[in-house]
Amino acid sequence: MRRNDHSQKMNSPGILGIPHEGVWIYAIAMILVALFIVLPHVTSSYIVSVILTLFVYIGYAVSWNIMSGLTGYVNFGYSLFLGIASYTSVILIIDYKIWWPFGWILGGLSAVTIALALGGIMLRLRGSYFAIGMLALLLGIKLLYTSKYLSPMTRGGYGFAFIEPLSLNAMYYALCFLSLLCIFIAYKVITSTFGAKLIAIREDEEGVGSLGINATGNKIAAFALSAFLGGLISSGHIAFQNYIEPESAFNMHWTIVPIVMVLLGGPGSVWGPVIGAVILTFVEEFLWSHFTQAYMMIYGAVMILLVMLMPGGIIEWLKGRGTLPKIRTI
Amino acid sequence: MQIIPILIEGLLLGALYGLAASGLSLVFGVMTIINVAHAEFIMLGAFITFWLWFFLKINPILTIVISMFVVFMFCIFIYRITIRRIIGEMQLVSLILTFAISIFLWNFAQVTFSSTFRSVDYSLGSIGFLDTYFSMNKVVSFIIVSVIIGGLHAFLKFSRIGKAIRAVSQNPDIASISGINIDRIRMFGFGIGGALAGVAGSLIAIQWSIYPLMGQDLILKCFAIVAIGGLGSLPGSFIGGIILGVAENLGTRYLDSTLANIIAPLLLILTFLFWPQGLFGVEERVD
Repeated sequence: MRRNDHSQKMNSPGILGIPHEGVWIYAIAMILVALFIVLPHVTSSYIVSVILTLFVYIGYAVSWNIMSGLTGYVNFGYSLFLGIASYTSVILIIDYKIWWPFGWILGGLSAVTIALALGGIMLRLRGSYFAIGMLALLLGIKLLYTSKYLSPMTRGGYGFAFIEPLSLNAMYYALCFLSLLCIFIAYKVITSTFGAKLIAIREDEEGVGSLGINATGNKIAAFALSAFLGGLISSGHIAFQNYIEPESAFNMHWTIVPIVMVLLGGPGSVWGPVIGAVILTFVEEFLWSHFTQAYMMIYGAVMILLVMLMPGGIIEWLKGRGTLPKIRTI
Repeated sequence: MQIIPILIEGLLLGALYGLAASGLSLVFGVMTIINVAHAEFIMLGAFITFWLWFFLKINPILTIVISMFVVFMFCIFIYRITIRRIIGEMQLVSLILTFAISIFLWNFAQVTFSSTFRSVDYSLGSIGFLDTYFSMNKVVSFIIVSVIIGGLHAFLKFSRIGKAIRAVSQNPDIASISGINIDRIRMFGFGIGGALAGVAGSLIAIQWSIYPLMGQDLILKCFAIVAIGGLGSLPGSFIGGIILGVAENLGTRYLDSTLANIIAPLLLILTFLFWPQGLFGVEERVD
């Protein structure tokens, strides 16, 4: 099976996982990119903000997938990185008047710092211990941001309103670029030997260790990369929200949403999280405006059904039906 | 002596925590899944007590039996339609599945019950001891917890099903070839775990206010208790609960309430890192 996969990959390297045979996909991609570029000039700001949210969700899902989809270490504390990056970027941009792109990057780097510090400790734990431990850390750090000890910087539990010095359109283009960057990096990771090592960790961690590969080191690298990309996107996301407080910045919602998206699309694949994000952003927009209360409940139900009936997500399902070739690069 | 009343408060609170966590520990023992939805069963138990008291004016102490039974049946239903299909798969699958069940349940509660705080207006008065007054509700709940934990211990030790449950948690393969129907025993185990959560919820309802998100606020405490006591150990979770209860009460008294809430996640992570077996945990099975 593996050898067969390999030869197929050799025959059609393609771009971003799409084989050369699928020329029509390039056409659609071109049209989509052109559409995204002209969109802010032709439509209402409502549409722009929906598409912006779509970019944010694609970014979250793709970067959660880099760590958890590939290694199988479910990160229930993903919002931890998002919250820390949001706070860092907002405080730097508003209080220290740093140019916003630097503020966003520094936000991402602050998440990396935390990920490296925690990763060395947490990633030595086994699968479910790691997941529960991350959940505990998320709660602990959220409480720390609410407490009076950090309030000179965070303004305590009530948070504060702010306006970052950039227009909606600038935010839109920046997040569009960042989400494409996330997809590109995810593609590069998944098709590299680094990605292969991560998948091997998911399949058999002891086996990986016996081959002389440093499993913990690779996990920490994936953890940090996932935190960086998530942090970048989240810095842009908080700029769009114009308000920051611990309860929403560290909300469990920002962990649940990427998990559902990745499960729906296909964990460990390049395009699975993107497909999941596209479908669920529009579903959420519809549910949010029609069933404001019930939509998280529907998310829970969808998640239950996905785990039981379609554990590989849409991508694996299409591969199983033969619609997509069975290669790792998709 | 200021410290004695604080320790007693901690003991009363901790015993309840211990009961809340014991079901989680039992379920882990029987089928090695970490049930993230456990705290939602506690929330259901609390709401059953509240609605029975609110609409039918049933004495909240008596509703404990009803909520125990209802949550038991509900858990068996959940087990039959979801959990049994994923036993034996990777732990992550069960983690995500129970997490999804938890999301579904608390949002279901929020939609149907609305997210307001409610409380059962039921007081048994108070009892004086060492110049301090303790709420009689807490004392009664402590007695009920002790009876249930004791009863459960005896049940696991002496009854046929209890012995089978212990056999399945010690070695499912050997239990299976000895003629035990593992699927049935796991179903019972999951149901009993849920029933314990239901009782804990009912006891919480007569002491604190209840709301749909209460499970989310409790789940980490349950994890911390189970980690301290050792995964799968019943006395461990009872003692772990008391340790956490006392630590939180001391923290609230001598530090501040934010830091008191950080104690549970902190204890959890420290235990995972430095003492993964906990107090009474056994070496992890290799299978």
